[in-house]
Amino acid sequence: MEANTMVHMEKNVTSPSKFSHIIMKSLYKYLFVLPAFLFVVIFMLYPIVYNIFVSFQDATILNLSSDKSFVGLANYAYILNDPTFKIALKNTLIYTSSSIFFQISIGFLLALFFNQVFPFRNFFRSILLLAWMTPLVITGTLFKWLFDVDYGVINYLFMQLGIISESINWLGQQGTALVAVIFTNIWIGIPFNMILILAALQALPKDVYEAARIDGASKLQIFYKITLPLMKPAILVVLVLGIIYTFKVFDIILIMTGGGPVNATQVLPFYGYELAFVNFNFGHGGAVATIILLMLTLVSLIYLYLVRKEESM
Amino acid sequence: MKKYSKKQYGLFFIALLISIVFLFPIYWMITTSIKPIQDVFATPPLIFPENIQFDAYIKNLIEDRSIFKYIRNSFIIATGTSLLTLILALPAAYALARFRLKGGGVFLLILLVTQMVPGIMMAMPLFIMFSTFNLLNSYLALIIGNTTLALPFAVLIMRPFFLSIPKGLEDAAVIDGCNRFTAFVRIVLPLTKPTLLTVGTFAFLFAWGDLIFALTLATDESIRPLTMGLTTFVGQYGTQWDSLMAVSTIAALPIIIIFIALQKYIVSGITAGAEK
Amino acid sequence: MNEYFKLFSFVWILLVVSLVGCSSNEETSSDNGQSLNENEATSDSNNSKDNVITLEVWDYLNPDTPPSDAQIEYLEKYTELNPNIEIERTYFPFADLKTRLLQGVAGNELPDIVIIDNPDHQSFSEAGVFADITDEVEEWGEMDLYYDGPVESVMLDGKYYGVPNNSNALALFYNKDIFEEAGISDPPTTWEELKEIAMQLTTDDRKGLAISATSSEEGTFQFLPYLWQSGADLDSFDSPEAISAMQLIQDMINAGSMSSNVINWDQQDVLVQFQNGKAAMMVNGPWQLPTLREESEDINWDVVLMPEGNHPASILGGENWAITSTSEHKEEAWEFLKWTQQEEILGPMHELGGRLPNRDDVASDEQYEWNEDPQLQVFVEQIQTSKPRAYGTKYPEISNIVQEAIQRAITGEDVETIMKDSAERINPLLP
Repeated sequence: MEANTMVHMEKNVTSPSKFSHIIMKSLYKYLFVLPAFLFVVIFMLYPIVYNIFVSFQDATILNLSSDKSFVGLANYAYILNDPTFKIALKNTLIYTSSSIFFQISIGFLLALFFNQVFPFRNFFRSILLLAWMTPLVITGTLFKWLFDVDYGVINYLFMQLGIISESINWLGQQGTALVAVIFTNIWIGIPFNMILILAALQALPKDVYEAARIDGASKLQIFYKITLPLMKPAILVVLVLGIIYTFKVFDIILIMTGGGPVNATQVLPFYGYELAFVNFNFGHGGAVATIILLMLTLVSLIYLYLVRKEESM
Repeated sequence: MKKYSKKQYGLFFIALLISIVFLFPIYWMITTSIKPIQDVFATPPLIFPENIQFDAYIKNLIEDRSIFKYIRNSFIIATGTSLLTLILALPAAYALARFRLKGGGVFLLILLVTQMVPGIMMAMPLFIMFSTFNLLNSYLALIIGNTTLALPFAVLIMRPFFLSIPKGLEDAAVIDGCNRFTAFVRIVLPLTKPTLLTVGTFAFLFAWGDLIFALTLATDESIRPLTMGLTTFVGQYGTQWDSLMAVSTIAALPIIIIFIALQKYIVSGITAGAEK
Repeated sequence: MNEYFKLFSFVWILLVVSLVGCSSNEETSSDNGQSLNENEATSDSNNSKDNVITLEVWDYLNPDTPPSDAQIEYLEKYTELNPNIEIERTYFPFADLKTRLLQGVAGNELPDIVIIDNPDHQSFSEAGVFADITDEVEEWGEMDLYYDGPVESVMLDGKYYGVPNNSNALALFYNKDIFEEAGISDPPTTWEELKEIAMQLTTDDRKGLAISATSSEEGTFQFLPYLWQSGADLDSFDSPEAISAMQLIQDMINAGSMSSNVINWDQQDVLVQFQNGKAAMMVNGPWQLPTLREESEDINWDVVLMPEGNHPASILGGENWAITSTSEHKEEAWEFLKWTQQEEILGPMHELGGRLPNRDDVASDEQYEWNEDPQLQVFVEQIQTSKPRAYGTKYPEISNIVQEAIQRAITGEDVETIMKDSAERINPLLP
């Protein structure tokens, strides 16, 4: 019966007397989105707004359920004057940029390799993904062991290969801890980047390559003149996605170094966590969250710009 | 059987070499877990284990059974996240693809932006919110937390999929006397199985690997998932790497099984996720 | 594709069913347990309580170590004697317990009873985490039996917030076999000897000494003895004496007789190094004695007083009991605490856990091993020169600064600069 009314309504949409039916009809459509919409508003938008709100308040564990006083920009002043914030910001930028650079370049090379035809190609391609899928807690623990100064296998292998002359306390030294954490993150991210780039490579038009080959272009020429320019939009999207995911770094830092030694691996999300959940100063934590949000909004604007540009192409 | 050239077999061996080097850490995790502790602390390290023993597994699977509790909790949380994500995302993605909704574009934009907020930043307000409503330390709190990570991803990869299904199919059904809802259930849903699997698996994996919400929203030991259990083992075992690697291997095992069974959907999920 | 889908849903359904199965089984079993107790309670007319009360206990006693074995054994003993009480014990790694307690406050999820490292007791009392039990303690009237240092740690502004359970101190363990092999007859008694001997015992796959310098209270705990031995204290952290103490640590790292890995090691890790012959000497506490005796019969080892700098000194550690301010069963929790402190309970519990007493009556009772066992006697003697960490409610923050200083020294920064920076930050936090 309901179906009949529906069909009936669709025939009369233009009639003004049936206006309420139009609302009924579109309401019905909105009901599909309603649960997700409510969820997003309550559990996702509200928290983001709350972070901004609380960053202007004096909110600690003691006044959690009572009234909190408005303190203006005091929390921001505290954060910006805290030397740890500057270190965390610097480390986050170094961490993100170097992780992304190596992930994408190594991922690209591997993608080019796996774009060739050979036995068990898909098997190899997929099995590398294990590195990316393993929960970060496990990966972090594992690399802590690999980087161990006395018994770690990385020191041993690097010494065998002549890369280093004596054991390095990778995670225990301010100079090398960030390098070790970045190395770990590169390992995690390579297969993800490879799969994305490989998918883009396989979508490239084959006829252009045919034409180039007929014209007698060398492999290197084909790569620089055809592959790279064609891949540019895809790489840009991978780049921005990478920035967003890498910027969120938390688990590896918590497991591998706890931000140490002496803040050598302190990064913004971990710094925010410590303020909120170790010191229980939610105002300070909220301020860091808002600063991160501002930075990521900038990145996401670029992201949206790129998506739009790609769609218009 | 395809015939491969010599060069292709050469490539095969290079691929084998790359995989061995790249997956060496996983190999090291497993071999460390089956070495006696003296061999674990050998200098230089023993690349190939000389004495194999399963003491660490006996210790952590039979003598101490707490890991099963963590695995159980992780399954409840990950399955719950998977289901909640699908329940919320499926109709939303469908409607956003099919209907011209006011504010639909804004909603998609919000999903894009929320995807970029670090989980730890969501955790603080959720912690305060849940503590007010006495929801802390419940599976639901963790499931909701993890769904905030999985939902945007789910909607964003399902919508293009629905766009690719010809609309004529449902219209035909509607004319045949179905309403929109039954058309959705009878015609569209069966076509979406692969996408549902991809999204479900990803939500499951997100939740399985989550540490942030486990760390902040669950102070009660009885509902803590495996990731949190691992940090307890890290604190407990310190540098007893044989036990630690055994626990890690056990924790990674479900991931490996899911991966082997569903790798096709995982690969397609990654690529689809980047398209939008 | 279809097979996979079937497989996947099958696995899922199986899991869901089995999990639901699990939990419902548990529910029914606990229901049975409860009704059983209720029946007992009603049939027993003397027992006025008809409900089983669950006391939640949190501690940081590492699983499978003597202190934790003792803890579990005595918790079980108590529930056997008191069928109306159930005890639910949760272990947290040492470095996590403090954070967990604070999160518990925010989440309104605190246990009833906590075992806490004594230097942290005052700051948690001030934060309102622990209940004021002054009335109960005074009515009990046994606090006079305890030593002054531990009692001070449970007090704040003249009120009692807990009961000191046990003491410990740090001393030097050494591997006799390795000493013999290297032709060294006596363990070191001074800093110079410590450096020298540690160097002599160092080989390619062995270090002379292992300590813990991790970024938790354990790191501070292990460093303060050297600070005090030098003659300095936390209020003179930039004095030449204090600098010499930190320099000692840095020198041994630089010389290679101590691994720079010490910053990752807690005291349990230090033990593992020693047990596996990877360290010829280690600094550790009496709670490791039972483990070493049980697990390391293959090595000959002994324990001696810590080497001296300008003065003999070690550090007084120990655990306290506390009841949380939010506990709904304060009365029952207090009854339990009192029970643990009876001599005939406390004595054997300390013996089992490798801990030292801090009550006169237990300490002086001839029947216990600390009055006969020569290795435990070393610790009893060491306690005479041990100092408590009595630096007020800001101590945890001070300790963080000390931990950072140690880490900076180990990673090779200039010690003088480190100590100057740190002193500037520590001074305003001292009472």
